[in-house]
Amino acid sequence: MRALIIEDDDLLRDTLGAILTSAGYACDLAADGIDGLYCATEYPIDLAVVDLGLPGKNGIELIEAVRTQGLDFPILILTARNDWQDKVKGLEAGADDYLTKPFNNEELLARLNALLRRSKGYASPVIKLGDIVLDSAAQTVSVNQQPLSVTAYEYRLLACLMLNAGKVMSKTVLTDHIYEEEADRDSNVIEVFIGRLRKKLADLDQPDCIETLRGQGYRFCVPLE
Amino acid sequence: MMLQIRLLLADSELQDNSRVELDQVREPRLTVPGGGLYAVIQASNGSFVWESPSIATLNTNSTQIKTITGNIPAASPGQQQFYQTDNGEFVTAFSIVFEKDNPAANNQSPVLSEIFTYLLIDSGEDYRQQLGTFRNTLVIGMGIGIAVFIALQLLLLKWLFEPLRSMVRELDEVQRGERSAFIEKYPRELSLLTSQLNHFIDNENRQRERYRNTLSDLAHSLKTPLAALRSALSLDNSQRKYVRSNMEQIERMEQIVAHQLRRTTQNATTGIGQRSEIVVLIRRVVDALQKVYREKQVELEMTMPETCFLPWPEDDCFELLGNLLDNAFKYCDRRVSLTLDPGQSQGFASIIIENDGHQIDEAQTQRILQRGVRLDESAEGQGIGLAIVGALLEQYQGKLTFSKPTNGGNRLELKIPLKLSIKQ
Repeated sequence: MRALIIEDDDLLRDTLGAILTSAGYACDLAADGIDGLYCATEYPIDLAVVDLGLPGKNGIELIEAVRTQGLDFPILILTARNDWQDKVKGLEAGADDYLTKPFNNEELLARLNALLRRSKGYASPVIKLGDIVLDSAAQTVSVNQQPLSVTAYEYRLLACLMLNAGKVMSKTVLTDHIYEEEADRDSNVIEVFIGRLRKKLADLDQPDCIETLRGQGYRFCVPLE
Repeated sequence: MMLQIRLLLADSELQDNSRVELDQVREPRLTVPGGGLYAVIQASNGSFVWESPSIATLNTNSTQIKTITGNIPAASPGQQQFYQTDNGEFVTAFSIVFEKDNPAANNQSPVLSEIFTYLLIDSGEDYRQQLGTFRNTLVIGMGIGIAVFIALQLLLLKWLFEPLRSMVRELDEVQRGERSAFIEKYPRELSLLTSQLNHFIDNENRQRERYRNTLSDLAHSLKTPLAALRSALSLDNSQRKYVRSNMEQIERMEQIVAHQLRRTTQNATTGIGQRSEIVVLIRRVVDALQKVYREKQVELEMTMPETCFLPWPEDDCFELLGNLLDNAFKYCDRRVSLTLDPGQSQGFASIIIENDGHQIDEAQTQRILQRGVRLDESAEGQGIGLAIVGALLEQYQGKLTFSKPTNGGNRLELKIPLKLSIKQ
């Protein structure tokens, strides 16, 4: 999943990027509100972390602008000021949660996972579709309670497909959601990852649940109960 | 009365060298029985030679006349005498010499004459009646005059003191937060005072704003690098001992920043002449918290009036409500209730917040609410929020009581004055 981090402090921005990347997110970084708004509107963002005290365009104005354009991805605001007035204004502007600096990395990731799940309609961090269980908190995948070893990009791809289960996802969309903007992308990389996932699932006797729709993309088939 | 006597004299004529007769009595009151005016002509031997017709009803007979006239000392002819009797009658006496006719008289013969005294008696009733009327009129007139004078004085005082009353009224409104400055026009003597007060209020509010903004900016500039350091160290697992030591130092720095920020809240000045509509703010905070805690699906029950104003600036209201309600939501199981009583008649508003969570230690809560508790001695989470609440309530002369309902959960009750009083 693709995350946008808008934070003017260089060290914190880079650190947040590293934290979310290690948690399986493809991260885009912006240092001010103007760049942040551009990234939010131009890239297929799944969630955003926004600092309220931004230069150029402050966090609240940025959130209002994002919502005005009809973008509904979840937003978590970071604030160094303990002012409740700022927190309430940020939530009223369209943010979904807040975290006060300094924060625990674990708490940040837990809140982001919760926001992402809720936006996709999942109440629990654990997504179970058929025999496949994806734990977004632990970033693990298992099939029939057997762990499935996947690379970071394979995990991102599988998570993107399972969170959008039943929907057709084109290669372009999948690429945008698992890679940050600056990444060097191979045009066939999605096919390669899909192929690997299918092989690993087959090794665990899991029938192929990733459907290919020629000319359209891929779809994770929701198993019939 | 002398005029009346002269009229009698004019009409008098000596008859038979012994009696005086009058052709007419010109004064009507002398002819009317009981008219209140009586006249007699007294000879030198004391006998009455003429009485006015009005004497007929003067206590019926001439004896009283004799009593009245008998007390008048004799006077020389031509001398006018005026007396007032003990009964209040007025008596005027005038003696005159009448020359008698003497046919045998020659140039060497002495002139025969007799002294007659004209006595005019006024019963005084008219006089007394007029005097009474005059006195009544005087008293009434003076009474009315004094009343009008007093009324005018009161009006004048009311007009003179109206600017002071107006100033007191405006000051009361400033204390309630209903206005932020004195805006009415005052006389020159008071306008200097009100302009100085406005200047003071403005300065206080600006200073408060500057103070908070400066510290907020300081916090931002400190907390962001601290957050970056903390997060970066959390990622670095290469040297555990080194990381743990630095994390402890960072936590210590975070505590110092938070503690100093809380102290500044305690020492910040009160917003003067500002007020906030707290019902609207409660709804805004609750809506925000419902978003944050949506997974918990908190059941919220609120009992509030249509409007309720507190003499607090909006940012302090947000701090109070945000911290209290965040604690209530965070530590509840499923239910939170809020009751707001505007308390106009009691002079203070009451806010009661209850939740069904695990009952917290009352002693610890009271200790956190006490002024000057250091952050590193207080509990994390609920302690910090309550400490800020405690500091704000002290600043705005409010009170907070904590209790544990018998059916479980926690209950906080705040009493907040609707008007700020000047601290001694």
